[in-house]
Amino acid sequence: MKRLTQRGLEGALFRYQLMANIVGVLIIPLFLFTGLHIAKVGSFKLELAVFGVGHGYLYIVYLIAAGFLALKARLHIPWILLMFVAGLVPGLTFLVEWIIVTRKIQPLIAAQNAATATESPGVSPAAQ
Amino acid sequence: MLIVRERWLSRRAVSLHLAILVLVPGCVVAAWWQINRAAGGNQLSYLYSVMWPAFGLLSLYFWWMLVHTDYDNAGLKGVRRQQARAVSGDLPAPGDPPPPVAVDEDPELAAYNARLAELAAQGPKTWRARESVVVRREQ
Repeated sequence: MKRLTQRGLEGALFRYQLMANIVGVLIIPLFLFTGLHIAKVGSFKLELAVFGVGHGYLYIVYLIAAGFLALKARLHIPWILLMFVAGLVPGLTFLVEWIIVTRKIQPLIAAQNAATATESPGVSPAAQ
Repeated sequence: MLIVRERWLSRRAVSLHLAILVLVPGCVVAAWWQINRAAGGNQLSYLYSVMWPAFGLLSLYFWWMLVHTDYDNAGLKGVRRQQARAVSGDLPAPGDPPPPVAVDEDPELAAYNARLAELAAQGPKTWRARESVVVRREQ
């Protein structure tokens, strides 16, 4: 709960991971029921409405979380597009989340920690 | 005008403008379609007619933020570049204290020079990075 409202990169990362997992789980039944509906196995109008609208609105939240993480970590546009598209393809959400976290966010956190560790002790003129 | 050209007319910015030119009218058309379907009696379309304008507003917001994103001093490459600069000591990184001024200088001139160095280290003034330090003349 504390991580959910945390400011900064760690909080943005947690919110993105949370939404990626929720959206990634929800899109699987949505595609499943769409396929069954098209294959005329039966009528799944209620399931399609529930998962369709649920995924649609949670996808908006996912876009907000992913976009804020991208702004915080200064990701470039192809990575942002990949994150946005991943929420629409079943299975891809988990893969992209893993790639983004291991390739982009964890090196950034490590570099930031290294930068603050080696920072020379100096008093800024504004603080004097 | 250099800053305008860099920010608004770089290849990256132009591709963002093109994306927004496609996305926003697309969202408006989709929203209008769903509103008409909702008026025609499709109850599910009420929910979708709210969703599409939300997508449009979100894309506008992220377009603005991405056009104004500073890649030089933050992010993975930015942090590494700053670190390399701090190690080699060639250029002062933003946020570093300005170099000490000579003692036998006129104090007012020294303060003015320090202020100039500080402003130069801050980089150009933008709507996100406004001047945070206000210089007050001592009475």
